[in-house]
Amino acid sequence: MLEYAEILALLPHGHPMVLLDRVLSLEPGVCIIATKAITGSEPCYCNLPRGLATERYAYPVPLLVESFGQAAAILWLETVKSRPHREDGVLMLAVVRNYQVARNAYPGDVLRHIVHLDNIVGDNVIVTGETRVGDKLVATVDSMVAAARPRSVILERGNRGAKVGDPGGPPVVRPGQASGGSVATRIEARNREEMAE
Amino acid sequence: MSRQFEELREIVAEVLELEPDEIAETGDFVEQYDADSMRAIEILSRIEKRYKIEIPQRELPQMQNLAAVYTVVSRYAGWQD
Repeated sequence: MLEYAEILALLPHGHPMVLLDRVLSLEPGVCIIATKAITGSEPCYCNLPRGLATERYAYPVPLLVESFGQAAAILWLETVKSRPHREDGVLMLAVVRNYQVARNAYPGDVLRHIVHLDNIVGDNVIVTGETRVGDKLVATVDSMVAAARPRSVILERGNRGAKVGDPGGPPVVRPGQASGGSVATRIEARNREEMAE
Repeated sequence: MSRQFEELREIVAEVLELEPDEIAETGDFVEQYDADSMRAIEILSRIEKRYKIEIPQRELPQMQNLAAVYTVVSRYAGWQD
């Protein structure tokens, strides 16, 4: 079990973007179960007008994905920490394949992410899993790919003014090439809208 | 074509979100099917899981089309034609 302080020490994120509160169980190379409590005092609910319907307070799906991704990041970091790896690597979410929302989560809910490690390919990790509140399913994801890329490469390209999506822009370098190639930072949240209805 | 070749075609098609018969043997993944480095990694990962083999990432640049993927995978899986 990891408490919040240990999570802060592991993740590169800072407040208020650390979207995990506790790790309930962690088996490096296999699985992590981590929780995040949603409260009405979070930044995503600030400055909302009064009198909104309950559904308007549904926890934003991009933050659901981010929170799940942070659980995956801890699983990955704890899996590779004994292996030689790039010291200045920046972790990035690269692909989300078939993320489906089964129900909304609201202030008062405690999200529980169950993340299974599928495979590690070089500096990339592939995970799969689901998010629950109690025994109720909130979301499932077929696969999520995260990538670690050298900070120097990202900074150099950022300084040249390249934008994500530009050819040659950050953050992904084609394997075996020093530069150029297509960028793969994409979120494919197919079916999300229809599932959310 | 061998059974394995058709299996690889299905894996590639699934990742590229195409029908298997849309993937030509020598169709370049990037040029013709709009693939990128992350797609390549997904394809590699699924092949590793399917055949319980490990393919080094340095082989990725060569895996530009279905025929090339088959050649690389054959080597690591020990398939004989």
